Amino acid sequence: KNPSSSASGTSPGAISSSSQPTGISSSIVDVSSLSVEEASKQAANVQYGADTKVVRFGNAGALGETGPTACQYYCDLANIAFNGKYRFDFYPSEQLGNETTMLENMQMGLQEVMMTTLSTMATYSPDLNILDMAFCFNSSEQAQYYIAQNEQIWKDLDDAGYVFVAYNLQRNPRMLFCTWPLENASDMKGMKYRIPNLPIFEANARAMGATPVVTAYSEYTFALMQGIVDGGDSAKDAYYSAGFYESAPYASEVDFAYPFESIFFAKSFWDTLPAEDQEVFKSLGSQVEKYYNDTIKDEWAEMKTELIDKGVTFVDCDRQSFIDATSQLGYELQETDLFKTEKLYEKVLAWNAEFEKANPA
Amino acid sequence: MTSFDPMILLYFGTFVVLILLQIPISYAMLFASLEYLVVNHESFIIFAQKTANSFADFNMLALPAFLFVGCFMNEVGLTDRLFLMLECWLGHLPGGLAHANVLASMLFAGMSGSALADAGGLGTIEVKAMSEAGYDKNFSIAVTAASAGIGPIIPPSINFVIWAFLSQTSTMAMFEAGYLPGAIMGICMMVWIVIAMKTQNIKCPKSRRYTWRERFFATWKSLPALGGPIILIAGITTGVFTPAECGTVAAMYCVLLAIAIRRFNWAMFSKALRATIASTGMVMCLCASGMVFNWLIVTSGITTVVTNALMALNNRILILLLLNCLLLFMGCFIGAMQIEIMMAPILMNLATALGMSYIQMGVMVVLNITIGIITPPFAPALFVTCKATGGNFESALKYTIQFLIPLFITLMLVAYVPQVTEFLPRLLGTLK
Amino acid sequence: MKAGIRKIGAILDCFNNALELLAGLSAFVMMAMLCFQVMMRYVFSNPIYGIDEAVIAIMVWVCAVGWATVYWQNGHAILEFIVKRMSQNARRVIFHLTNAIVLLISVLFVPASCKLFKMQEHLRPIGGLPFGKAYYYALPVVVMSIIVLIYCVYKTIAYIVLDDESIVAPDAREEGNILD
Ligand code: NA
Ligand code: NA
Repeated sequence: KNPSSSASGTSPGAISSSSQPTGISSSIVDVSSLSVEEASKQAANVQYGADTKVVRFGNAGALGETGPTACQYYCDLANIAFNGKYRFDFYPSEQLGNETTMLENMQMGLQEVMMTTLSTMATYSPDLNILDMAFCFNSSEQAQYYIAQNEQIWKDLDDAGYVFVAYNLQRNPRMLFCTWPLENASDMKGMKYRIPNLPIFEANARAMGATPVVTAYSEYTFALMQGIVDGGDSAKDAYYSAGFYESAPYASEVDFAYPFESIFFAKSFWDTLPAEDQEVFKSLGSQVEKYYNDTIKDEWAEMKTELIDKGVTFVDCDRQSFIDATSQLGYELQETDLFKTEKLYEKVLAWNAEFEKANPA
Repeated sequence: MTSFDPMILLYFGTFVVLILLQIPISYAMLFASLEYLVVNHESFIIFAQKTANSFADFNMLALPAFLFVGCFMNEVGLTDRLFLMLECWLGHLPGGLAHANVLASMLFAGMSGSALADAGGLGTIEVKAMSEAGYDKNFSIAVTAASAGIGPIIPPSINFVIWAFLSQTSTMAMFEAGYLPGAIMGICMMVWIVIAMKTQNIKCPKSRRYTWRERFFATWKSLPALGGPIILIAGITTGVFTPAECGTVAAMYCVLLAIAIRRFNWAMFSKALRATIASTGMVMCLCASGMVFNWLIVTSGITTVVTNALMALNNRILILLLLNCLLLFMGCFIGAMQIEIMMAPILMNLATALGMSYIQMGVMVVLNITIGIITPPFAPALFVTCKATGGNFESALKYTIQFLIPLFITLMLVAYVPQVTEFLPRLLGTLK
Repeated sequence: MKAGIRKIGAILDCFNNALELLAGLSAFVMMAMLCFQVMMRYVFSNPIYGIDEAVIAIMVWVCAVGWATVYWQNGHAILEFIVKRMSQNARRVIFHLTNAIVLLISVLFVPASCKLFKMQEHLRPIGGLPFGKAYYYALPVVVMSIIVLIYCVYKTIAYIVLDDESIVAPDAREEGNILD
């Protein structure tokens, strides 16, 4: 829970600066081969001076989860790479405020970097809402293709003052769980379905036939336990780590949405950085992305085994029936003012087809 | 340690000097934060942002609701029936009324979130009844003031709501964690009453034995008032509603009840609403400016410094003892909420370092600072009781101070035995 | 001059009373709405989308107004035990200082909250409400800071002119504003 960087050591990091990417000045240390553990160790030895720039990096998750570990990794790598030019302090567990607050912090110059789920940015770029729509995409890759193609998103985010160094940290897909088995969409009738206070989730729940109940995330576990809600959805790892499985032991891996984590800088800060430093920050983004994507899938496999041991039933569910239940959802939503782009859903269908064609299964 | 900013001493110094000079505590926090913002060239939009953010926290909805319930119940005058009922059952026993006093506070605590509502409302009736029965008045005041402290421990509790808000834990889990320590607190006090009566020859005459008919009639009359705590306990343990909803349901119950027994009128309704706004405004202002102040505490690195300094002692028992002494000391001067708000980042950090749950830490903190309400120089609960009953502060102090013994025993149990706080949340599954 | 200031004080007092009652009634409406939502969920299994966000909107307004009304009544939490024992002259200096500090903070609050409003103005409505977050998030703080600023300007001037302690300090007979 502490701002993480610490430099109690006396010797400067003995880091070899061979094999540097081309175009990067020699004062920048190559960190591309450092693992999380190595980075953590070496970062402890970095020394900072009076002219060190302090960079505040915030995240909502608690230390120990993959997301915050990735954030810490990014901070360590940056601290080592620039050898004390910047000092990235990592603040997990909403220490700098909840996600909305942190986003505002960035606009106000109170914070420089953060990691959050990409669809959270829908407040600034409504087209990102579709990432949370049930069964809009079939894979993380397909969803990434959409994000890359839709220029409106990048224009909006730039206008709002955020610069992304990574947005392809693939969380585990969203799944459903309930106190009874959800084999197909008709099983969701009468289910009190926990949603965050966001219209897209309300629409999802209604389309699938459930009764949406708004509950704060901090009361989610409790609400399940006491029957305020019967079930809901979450990214798969949260089902395990937040303990939802204890009250709702029937899991349906319908993969109804593909969420991403993203790391981004405040534009006001980013624009003060030299171009070569910006390049390094972007490459660190890719490095952390790779670490995250390699870790999270394995982690879920382990969690799943453990969940089954603990008595969780992974329901043999009919994904198609859920897809059918929500087949009109996209058309309905594109008529509301939920998205910015006109007829967004139809455009997404076209991009999805384009992607399928280029990447046949 | 890289990030300790020595300027923090200036900010803290300013803050302490300003609050000693009777500047509103929230404005003192904002002014100290302003220094920080100016020194670090940061935007003061943070004032508005943290303010709006604290106001918009869904779980804080519980606050006006519980405040309203406390004010309104005293206005309607249902609480006296609770004490009268207990008097009928216990009055004839040695020290019976003193025990009834403690038990009434435990029941009242089940629907009110604050100690002073107990001391100022129910307390008047308790002291009057005990004095009329021939009890030593100073002892009666002492029992009343001390037992009022159960209010913030047995849920609902405003201080628990605020701790949950600050530490982003479940309000519900905090509530569940409070029942057992609250019960222990009451039992310890009742044991102390027996000891004090035996050893100090305090005047505690037995009153007459009430008939069974009288007892059942008094119980019947107090049922509507008992409905409040029963709804809340049922709601909290079975979870029909979230804490915020729980408070509002209790509020609506009180209003409907007042209408049903024909004690409802506009004057007292609007008085209770005004009192609710006065308290809500003050508390939320503290929370909001506290969030600004916390930004300074979190980003200046002082949490790490304090945590590391304490953890360097490398002795869990000693660290906890020191922490408790510090909190008790602060509790003698500053209100509970202010301490929670100022210390939350450090306390959370310490809890993690000590391997304590935020829940146990929260109950411990609230208990500590609640003890401050009967400890001089301020002792607000004692002051309010004396004011409401025409008693004398100095002479009541002699017996009041003795109640620190049962309170301290409860505190030690909470601090060193995690099960005391965590048993119930675990049983009900809110805590894993 | 003195009479004029007293008159203004009386008007502000009236205004504040009305504001407090309005906030109180809003708080009650908010509680009733939340209760209704519980009932809709339990009895009819059909909670109404939008109530939760509306309740928050009211809460923010109630808190903001509450902050202002409490300031007018000198009801914000303070520590009295030192100043209480000070001489009349020392107290006078301290109360002028209090006014100056509140004035400074309030002056900063106005542009701060206006900037926050601008930041949020273009955000889409959420939670089923027809208007955006700015109107129940930044705007209440704008309104609050303007009201507090007006109150504070009045108090600063009135205390200089009238030298009446009840303008700037809570009634000495009430022991602080401690709530535990
Ligand atoms: Na209570
Ligand atoms: Na009592």
